[in-house]
Amino acid sequence: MIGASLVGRYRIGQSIKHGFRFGYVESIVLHCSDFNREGPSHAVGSKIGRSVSVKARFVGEDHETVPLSAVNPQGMAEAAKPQPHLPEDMVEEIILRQPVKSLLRFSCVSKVRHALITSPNFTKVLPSQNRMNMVVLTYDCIPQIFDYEALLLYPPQNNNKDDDDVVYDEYSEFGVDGCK
Amino acid sequence: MSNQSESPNPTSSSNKITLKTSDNEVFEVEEAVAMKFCTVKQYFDDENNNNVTSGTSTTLIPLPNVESHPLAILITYCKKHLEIKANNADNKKEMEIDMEHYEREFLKNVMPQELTELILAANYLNFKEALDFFCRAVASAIQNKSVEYVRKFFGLESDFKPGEEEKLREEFAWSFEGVDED
Repeated sequence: MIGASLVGRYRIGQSIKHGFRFGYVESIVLHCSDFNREGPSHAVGSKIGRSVSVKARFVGEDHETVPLSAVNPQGMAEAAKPQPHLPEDMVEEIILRQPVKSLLRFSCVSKVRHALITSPNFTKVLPSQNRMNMVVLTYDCIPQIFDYEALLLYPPQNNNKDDDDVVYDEYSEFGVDGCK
Repeated sequence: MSNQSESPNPTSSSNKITLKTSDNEVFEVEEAVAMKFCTVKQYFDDENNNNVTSGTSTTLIPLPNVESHPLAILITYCKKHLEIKANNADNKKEMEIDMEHYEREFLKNVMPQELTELILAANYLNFKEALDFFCRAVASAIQNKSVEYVRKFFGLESDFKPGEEEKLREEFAWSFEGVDED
């Protein structure tokens, strides 16, 4: 392990000189506030809240590449940190891939989003499996299939809080067979 | 499935292309990998047209909009992508299964906030398969999240007038059921 004195940028496989020894960077460990992480093939220590330690293998031994591995996957809470924002067209790409229920919920995110999601053009570019993917079981237990446009125009009414007979069921991933 | 990683494109196997990121890191990648990045391919083709005599691996391609961290991950992804393709050249179904398996493993190793970086880099490099994959990944990650979470994630602010949002929420109340904790 190389001490903190060797501040710099390292890449796996990069040649490195330490004292009189020459070697290669073998692995890089990112230390974050609440998790440690091996690899990927490269790391930058200046990232907020992260420090990096570099493990090197010196001449005489075989150099090994460290795969992208051994990471403690953090919950999505991590993502709530400030970060570079995606351009509008990328946001749209992501929104397009949402199931109907999420789409309608996300229409409350902002005016622009609402305009996008409820625009007639948007419903046309939705992937076909997203266009008709909601089964509503009404109280007489007859499944009805609603498509996206119909849901926008006539959202299922559930004003009576005690009315448990109305069940909304998504089956977007399973096709019609998933209909319960 | 054979584990041997053959070069996906034998005609250009030994040519290396050098990429330089915005933070001045230099990456040497195989031509087959670099050619998956349409932006790099375009640049490379232009260079070659301008200077037919230039021969082999001297080209250094600057990528002023890409940092080294996402680029390293993209290169790993790209190599694996090409490898899986080459291993299952004659079996599309098999290839898709391998790819899906790899992608699931891949996502375990990537932080959600890294996905944003990766999307920006893949978008700039015009690497279509990766872009599609990352967008799918983010989409499924935020699928069950609250409106507030999505705002934070995309860095958006509510610009509704008082009352407008409440009205919408009421209208789509059923879509707010079963939302994950932030």
